[in-house]
Amino acid sequence: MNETRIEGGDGSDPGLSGVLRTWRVDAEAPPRFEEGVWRRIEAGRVGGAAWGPGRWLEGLLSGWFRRPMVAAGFVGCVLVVGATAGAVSGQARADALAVHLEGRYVQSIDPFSGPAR
Amino acid sequence: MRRPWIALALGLLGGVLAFGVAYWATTREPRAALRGPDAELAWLRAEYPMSEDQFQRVSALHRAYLPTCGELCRRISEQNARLQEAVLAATELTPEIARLLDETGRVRDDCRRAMLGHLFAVAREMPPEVGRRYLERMLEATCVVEQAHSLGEAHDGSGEPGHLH
Repeated sequence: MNETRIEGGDGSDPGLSGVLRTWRVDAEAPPRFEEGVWRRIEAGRVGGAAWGPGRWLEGLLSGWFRRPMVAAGFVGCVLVVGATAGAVSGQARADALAVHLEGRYVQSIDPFSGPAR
Repeated sequence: MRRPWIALALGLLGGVLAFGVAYWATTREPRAALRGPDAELAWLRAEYPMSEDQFQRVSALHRAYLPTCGELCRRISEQNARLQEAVLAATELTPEIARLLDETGRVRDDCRRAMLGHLFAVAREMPPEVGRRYLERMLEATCVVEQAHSLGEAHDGSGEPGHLH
């Protein structure tokens, strides 16, 4: 919420203070407005008690992801880390399969090669 | 208020997808080779690059050698069975056991000769450098040449190569 400081709002400006005293709001509140306000306050109390760390993390993430550069950097890092981990573990698996296939080839041409070779 | 969680989840999902794609891409060739009917030959071609013509000739050599290899396997198996039977029936080195040992050695030499002939024939069909690398690797992986280091390790326990007495 943006807050506007009004010069003389502390009563130092008698003119402004007079105007503010005569200010009346004529708009009607929506039906069951007060009940709704209390319900939201109550929900905030309960939620705040049960989800403290969650709320904190949500606030932190909101702060980060509000900036497009940070959000893009996060996604980029996650993609790079995921792709690198996939390539490294995939290469290890490919090497293991190659060893297995070499064993099968040797077995097929070497009469002395047992199944365990 | 759910937007940061959605962004986080989408980011992590992207990471998981990136992992999966990279893993799939790096393991695609060996997995395809493993599923194929000639997995050994597919591995041979991937490991020792050669032209299509060369690969066809190597494949033909391989298929022609398989019955020979099977026959040699059968001879080895029979000879081993005879030798084992003779050894278990005796209490010392008899002339019969000595004769069977000589025969076993001859069968073994026949196998090594046939296998070495096949390895040379395959290597000749490959590009020279690739063929050389193939031969070197096969000499290590097969029993054509006895691996001296294992004998050295068994005798002196030092792990040094060579048959030391």
